[in-house]
Amino acid sequence: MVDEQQNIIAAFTEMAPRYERLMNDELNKFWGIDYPVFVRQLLSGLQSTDRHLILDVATGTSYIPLFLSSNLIPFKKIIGLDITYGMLAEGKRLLSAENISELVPQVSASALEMPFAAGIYDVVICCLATHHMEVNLLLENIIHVLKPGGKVLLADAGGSSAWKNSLVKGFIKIAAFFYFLFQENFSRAKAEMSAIGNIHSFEKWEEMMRLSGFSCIELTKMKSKKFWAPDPLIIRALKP
Amino acid sequence: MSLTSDLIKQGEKDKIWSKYCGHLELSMDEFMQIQKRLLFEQFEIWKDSEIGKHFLGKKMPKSVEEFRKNVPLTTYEDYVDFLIEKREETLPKANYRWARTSGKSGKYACKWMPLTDRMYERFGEAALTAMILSSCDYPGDVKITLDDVLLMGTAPLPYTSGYIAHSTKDLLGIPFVPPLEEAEKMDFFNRIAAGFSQGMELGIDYFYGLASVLGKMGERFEQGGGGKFSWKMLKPPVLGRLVKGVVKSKLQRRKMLPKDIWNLKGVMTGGMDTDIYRKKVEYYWGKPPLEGYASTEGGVQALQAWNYKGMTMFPDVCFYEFIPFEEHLKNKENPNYQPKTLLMDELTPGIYEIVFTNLLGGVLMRYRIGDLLNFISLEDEEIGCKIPQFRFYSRGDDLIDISNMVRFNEKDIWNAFEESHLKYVDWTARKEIKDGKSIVHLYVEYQPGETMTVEMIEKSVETSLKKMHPDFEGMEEILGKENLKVTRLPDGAFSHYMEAAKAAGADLAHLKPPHMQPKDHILARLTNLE
Repeated sequence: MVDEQQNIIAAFTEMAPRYERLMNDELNKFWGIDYPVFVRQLLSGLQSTDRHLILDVATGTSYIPLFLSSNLIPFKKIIGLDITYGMLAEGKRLLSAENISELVPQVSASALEMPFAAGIYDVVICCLATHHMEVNLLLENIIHVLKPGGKVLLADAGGSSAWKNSLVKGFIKIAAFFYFLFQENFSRAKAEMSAIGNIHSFEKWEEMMRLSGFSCIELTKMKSKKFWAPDPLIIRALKP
Repeated sequence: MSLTSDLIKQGEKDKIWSKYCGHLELSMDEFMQIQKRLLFEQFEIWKDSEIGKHFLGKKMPKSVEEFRKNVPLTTYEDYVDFLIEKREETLPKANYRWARTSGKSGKYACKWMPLTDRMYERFGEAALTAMILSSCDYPGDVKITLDDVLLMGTAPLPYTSGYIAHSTKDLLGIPFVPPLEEAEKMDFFNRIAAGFSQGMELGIDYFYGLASVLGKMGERFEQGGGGKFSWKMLKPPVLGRLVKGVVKSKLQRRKMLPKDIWNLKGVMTGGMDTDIYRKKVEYYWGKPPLEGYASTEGGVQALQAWNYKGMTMFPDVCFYEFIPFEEHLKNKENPNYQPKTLLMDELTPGIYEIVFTNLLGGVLMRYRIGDLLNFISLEDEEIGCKIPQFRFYSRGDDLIDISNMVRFNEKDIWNAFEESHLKYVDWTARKEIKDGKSIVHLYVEYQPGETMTVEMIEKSVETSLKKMHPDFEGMEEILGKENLKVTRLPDGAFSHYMEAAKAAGADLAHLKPPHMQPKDHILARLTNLE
């Protein structure tokens, strides 16, 4: 796991300066959707007030805090958590340019060992990052830091049930490895190949959320542009 | 009796907390200021000594940067001429205590490290910090009292853990079971047994030692191996403890566990096995183990806090530098390559090889002990600490790298064995070449009566390793299957090895074969019982 983390840090440090453009291109290529449109859909269920403390897991270049701020969605503070310091540095630059860096403290740490006390956040958001983590461990951390009644909003790729087949999964891993090796670099190829193992089906997500102790679980499946690509998935749930 | 014990007696909790746990409240700047100030003091200490001139030249560095530029990274080999024969005349001070640790086979049987009075005292202070943090629930919560009983399940003098025990006793005067003088005449197993036996009468409040010892003891206890009847059990305190244990376990409708008998305030451990046995220790003993990072060469350098997450370095024990993992690998490939180092305030999350320079009058400069640390966060909001937090990752030499795609450390393999539920005596693992490709070969000795087949273990271990390292599965898809092999060792392999090592006069740390990357002659001895 540590090895994978090291790889993710290397891959995302390299991507940091061009991350948002890259995301937009990749989302358009695979899902036929713009990055801002996708984020808007994820955050559509968020009803926050200026007393809410929000945790943005894998905040990257702070796109979500910037999005909330520019759309005048209220919050008290958003804590941006990311293991890749290079991404946070880029985010800091963008937040400072918008004059909101004081409202968005950054913490460079692993989302699988969050350095926060129990029950302090009203909302936890994680956009397009769960596939780089061991999901059960991530959910364990999220439920630990959420207040009772707190909300979690997750968005990522969800595989079809055919992905359970080890032959299919194996083929997709190889394809992902070579695609990203030629399109990007070795670190990204390794990171994305590992990520395939963390892409779960709609049903599996529901089961994992339930077993982690979440309630009022809502899963929304969208349709990807390519038939072979995993479909976008938006998950909303509450900590009882 | 020291000022500290007076503070404890008077219940001055704030003062005790601030003195022994205050490092958790430092800012990064304050941490670095302490580091740099003490490093400059070291220059003064070293300047007239032979060892100082050997490494620093005639002119002392004027800045930290100059020190890092002019002094090369060192290993114990660089100090052999000064330390193996304990040549105090070459060192800055006199009348050192000498601590021993395992050496390098074929070169020197053991390493000796000089300890100044201040380094020795610091051992006890760090042990007290560990006791406070292992038993507290929030900042300022000091539960320690002077009649607390401590069981030290570690090596005696002249090993560092022996010095830690003595220094703790000097600082606090608290009772040990068994008493240190008595304990030092016993071998390890008798010492632990005597500790728990005396603890039946006196109680045990703190345990310091290996998590695996507590984990295995808990298992034995649950299986009904807690000991036979003896007349000593009729002593009122012992009887009282037993009755309490029986009642507690009956109420919870389960077998009696150690936590039913003793109410441990804190458990302090160090080493690779802490994470492996963390849950078991908590289940059997009622407290999770507080992990520390310590060595003979560097002293007690870091501890976890009351949330049992990352460890925080003490700023005044050593001056720290860190080699980024990529640099570490480059240097491994090409030993002539000089890896760059970062200071604590330059770290970002990731894996680093630690490099340290002794403070408090010690003699090691820019020393590479070979450990890799995983910095998991730059701060810990939960405990309010602004210093980077880390977990022990691996010994640098212990990583098994398969085709440059997956790296396994000792913890990975140990965890995989534990998850297999195999009842084993011990194991060892190494990288081997089979049909032209790298594989992980695990060698394991079964406990008597174990019936699992090698194929079952292979499957279980492989599944666990794939769960921990998705790349392992990915690698299989690219490079083909059969990247892992398990071989069952003959019954008695490990005890035979240890007896032979003991007979050959091996150092305490070399009595057991290493878990990772054993050399051919070690494996030959394990597989051949003749």
